[in-house]
Amino acid sequence: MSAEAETSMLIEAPCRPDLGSMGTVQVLAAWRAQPGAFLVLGFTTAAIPPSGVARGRSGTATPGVFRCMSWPGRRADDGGHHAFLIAIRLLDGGDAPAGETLLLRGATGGGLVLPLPAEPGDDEAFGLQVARIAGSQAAPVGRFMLDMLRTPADRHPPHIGITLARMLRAFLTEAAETDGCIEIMIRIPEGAVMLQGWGARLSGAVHVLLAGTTLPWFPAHAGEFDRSDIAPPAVGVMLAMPPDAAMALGDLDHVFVISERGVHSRALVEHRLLGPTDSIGHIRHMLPALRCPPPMSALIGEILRPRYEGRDTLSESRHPVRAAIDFAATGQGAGAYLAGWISDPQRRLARLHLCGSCGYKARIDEAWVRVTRPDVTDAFGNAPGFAPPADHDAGFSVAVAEAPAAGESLYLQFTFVDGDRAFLPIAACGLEDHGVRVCMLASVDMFKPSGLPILERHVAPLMGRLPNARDPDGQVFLRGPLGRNHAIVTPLAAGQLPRTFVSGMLRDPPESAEQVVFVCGPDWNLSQLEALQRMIRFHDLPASVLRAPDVIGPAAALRIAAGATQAGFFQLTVPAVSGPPGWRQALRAAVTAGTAFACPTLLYEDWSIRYAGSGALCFQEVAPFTRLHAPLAGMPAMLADGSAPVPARIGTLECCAIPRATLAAVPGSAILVTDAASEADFFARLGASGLTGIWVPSVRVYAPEGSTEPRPGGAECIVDGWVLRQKWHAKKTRIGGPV
Amino acid sequence: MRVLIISHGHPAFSIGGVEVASHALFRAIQATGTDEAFYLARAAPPMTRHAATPLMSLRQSERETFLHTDIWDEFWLSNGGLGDLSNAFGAYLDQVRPDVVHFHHVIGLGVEAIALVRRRQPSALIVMTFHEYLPICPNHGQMVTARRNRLCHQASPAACNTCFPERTPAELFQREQHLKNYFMLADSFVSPSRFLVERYVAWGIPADRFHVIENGLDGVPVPHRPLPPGGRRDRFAFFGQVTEFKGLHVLLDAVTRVPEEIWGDASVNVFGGNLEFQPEAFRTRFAALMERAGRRARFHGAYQPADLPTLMAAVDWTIVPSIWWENSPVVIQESFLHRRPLIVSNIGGMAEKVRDDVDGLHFRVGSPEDLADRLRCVLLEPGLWPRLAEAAPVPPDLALSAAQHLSLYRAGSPQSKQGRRKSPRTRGRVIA
Repeated sequence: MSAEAETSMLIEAPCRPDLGSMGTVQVLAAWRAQPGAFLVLGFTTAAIPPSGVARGRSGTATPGVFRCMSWPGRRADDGGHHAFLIAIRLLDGGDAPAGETLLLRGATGGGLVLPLPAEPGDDEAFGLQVARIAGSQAAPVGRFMLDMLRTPADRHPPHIGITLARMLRAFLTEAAETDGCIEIMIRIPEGAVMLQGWGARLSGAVHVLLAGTTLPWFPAHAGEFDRSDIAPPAVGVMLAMPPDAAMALGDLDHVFVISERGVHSRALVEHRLLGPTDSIGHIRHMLPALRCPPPMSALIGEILRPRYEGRDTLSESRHPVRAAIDFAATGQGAGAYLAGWISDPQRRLARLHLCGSCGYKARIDEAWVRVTRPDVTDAFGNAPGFAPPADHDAGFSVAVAEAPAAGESLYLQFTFVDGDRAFLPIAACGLEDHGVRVCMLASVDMFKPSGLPILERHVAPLMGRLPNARDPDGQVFLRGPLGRNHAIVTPLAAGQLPRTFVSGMLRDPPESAEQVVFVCGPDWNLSQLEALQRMIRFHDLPASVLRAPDVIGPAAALRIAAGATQAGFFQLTVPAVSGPPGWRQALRAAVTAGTAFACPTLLYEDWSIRYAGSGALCFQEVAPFTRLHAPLAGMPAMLADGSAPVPARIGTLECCAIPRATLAAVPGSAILVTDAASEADFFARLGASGLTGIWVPSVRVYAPEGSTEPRPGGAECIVDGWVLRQKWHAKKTRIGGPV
Repeated sequence: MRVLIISHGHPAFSIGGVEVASHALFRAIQATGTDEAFYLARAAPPMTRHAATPLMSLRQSERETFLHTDIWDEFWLSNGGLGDLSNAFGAYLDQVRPDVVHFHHVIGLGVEAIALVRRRQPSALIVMTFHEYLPICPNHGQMVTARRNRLCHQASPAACNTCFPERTPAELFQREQHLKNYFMLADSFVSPSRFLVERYVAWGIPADRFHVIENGLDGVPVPHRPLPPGGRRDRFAFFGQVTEFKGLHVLLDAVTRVPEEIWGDASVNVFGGNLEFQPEAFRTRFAALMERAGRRARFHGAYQPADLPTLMAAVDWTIVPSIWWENSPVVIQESFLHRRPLIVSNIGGMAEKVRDDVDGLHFRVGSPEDLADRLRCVLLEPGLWPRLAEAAPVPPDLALSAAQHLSLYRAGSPQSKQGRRKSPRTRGRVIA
């Protein structure tokens, strides 16, 4: 039964009026810790129940509970009396006036009538009196008081009240025996606090009260060690306390310890504090000599756990295990993501943890997804100890839900089958940055068997925990006719009003089925958005403005527009594109069933060809690894003449008509495709799925140089060149032919 | 017919060729008695506007109104105060209900004003007069290279990028497209010179929408300067704003190149204002050239249009040494009105309006040597002046100019048009 339930039952029990027959009581002193909470010290001839219900006789006091501790009294005139210390707490904010008589009834029968003194007791006088009455029982009395006076409000050291501290200090000062001192304060990097000194033997669980400005107390463990410079029976003493104790070290001058053997007073002989740099080494040095209870051993074991301190790196390890991290990122509140490889042909690795300098630790080898990386195994093929393994699953990707603390340095901790350890430091990026998220998404090769589980088990949940992921489509700043079937989707660069695009609508007004969807990023501030809104309203455009949470490129704009509208057809058009009246309708009309996309002829501002179909993916050894190659680029526009649409594997996101059905058919998740994809990636994925589009030579529009902005920085750079080479080299005839 | 004439400034507050010409047309149409004319001019700081409205009267006639604008994007020729434009100018249009809206400039008002007229008065005829090349050339519409003041023969994103490296070719291309998108909302374009038409047609404006109508000019010719016994026609004058593009440095340099025995008692009189608004480097150079010219040249400062006949009476020749193309400088017409032969740069509107060795002389643009040769020539050949002065054409007067404009308006009026280009609110029209 819980304490709350027990209390509830006691309060509901009837309180008989004849409690006075249960014994005689002499109250020596009472102390009011706070309204409704009292300590009452006295003598009685009756056996007092250890706990029960408290109620005021006059009926003015609200019901409450009490607990009692009694011990053989030392009153001179009657050896039969017991001393008692009763703690009473009236419930529901009740209080008892001075002089009130309380009726206490035990939970298992018995009780007493307890008159409160007419005047409340002085803090220090009460503590002193308790100590004197407690005598040899000071330690259990002290523990009783600490236990009874602990409330939710004063559990934490900074909130120990002055009144309480004054009473306790008086009690401890009177009851304690000065039998040693504290010489060193040790603050462990991850928060534990240890006090080292010498004195009478202490061992096991104790209470430590840190006397300074206030008097917080902590449960602690005590250990001993031999010191040749101390005469027996004194020994070296080590006290281990929880992390909160560190807050009281600043003005510490004295330590009281309540142990099984008594109350001890130990002064701080010098304010010597070992900080994070020295503390671990000191504890490690002390460890062989220290005799301590199991909980303290466990604590010290955790303190001395292996950690990366610039030594024992994996590259120095004798084990034939090597690894590298290709990508590491963390997001506050979201977790961490790692992608890399480990070559462990002899299966020496037992456990792999992602650790942090402030105590972060997450095991990653139980949940990771292994990825085929023949390049890694090939690279180690001739290295001693790295015999070719049975498989090529050297790669891995994993996300963990627990996030390290801000600023925590991360490293991998390799634990080998023989217990040996090695470390690998990691430089992690912040997932709050859009570019980093793009990198993470792009690092997943959707065309490997491992792609889907990485996405489903790791990337997607992690993305879902990111703050921005909760609102992937941003906000609708200006709501236009989102239900129209033809959406002209226009991504906007930071703060650049789409003047040419809007003025182009004057010459070629939107049809009744058309709507314009401007998509801008968070780099558009309110005044810029309002200017855009004024421009739209001034020109009476059927336009919406969507503000994405991230910097957007054409593909992301397409995704956002697809989510925000009910359009069945999208015309992706960067704002710099301009064409003759009717060009949009002509391009749309060219899209027939089964056509994935349609692109017009794009001309540069100097009238030369920018895109004229027949595009191809070009693979490069260096960043950006891929680029779209248009064979006719820069040539005179007359060379792009033609009237009939021409099949095209590669299009251009500068200007492209795309049915909604195409978006649904793109392999991989929509998020992966659109957020991570560069133009090359987008059309590569379409091509790999056998989706083809058309180039419509009869529709000519201008797309001046530089109109590819906005685009997430380095989007093309993040496409894994190796992956593309491996996956697409053999298929590139399908996607446009070798270049 | 109700005609609304729109200008970027009012001659009562800003004396410039466009202001004068547009206001003269307004007055001339009003004077016909058959048609109504309204005049809307832009007002700008340091004039202060009313708190509640940007529309003002500024004590002009009851048909003259000012629209105060102060948010101006010179690159895009765009008005940043679309709210004022839409509300005040839109309401003004609703009240006036013009049959014709004739823009003489969009500076300060923005090209958006054209779109607003098209939307608010869809049946109104929109006419646009180009007075220089501002839509084509971001360098103040001069079609002169920004760094070395060399003549530009054709604008393009790449060429303009060399003048404005801070603007990408893509931006310059978008500017071009942007402005064309607005200007193509107009039904007709007017130019006082054929040369300007050629430039705009080359830029992409359809030739069939252009009409050449010379600015009208009223006035009575002043008599020729009486010569003293043995005197020569050796008084030269420059009229206009003192800017770098006007070529005063060419004139002042040429003056010093004429030998003293030929120059004799000749003089060049510079009548022009706005020197104080020119860059420091230009002012310093101008002062040095004036100093070097000594007694041969004299700077008189600014003048009022009403003073011009008096000033013209004291001179024999007018020199227009502009190093930019010009369009149809008013000073050429005024010189012809007063039968003063001209010596002009051999380019653009100047070469078109002044016939070489017929009613004036040409010299190679930007060449002080060539101009000095022409000065020698006119100083040494006494018979040249009377021949050229006699051949000076009579410029059209305001009434004729107004009649030509009204004829254009009527030809393009809703009754005579089958349709006009559509706008977002006026769908269904056929694009011309």
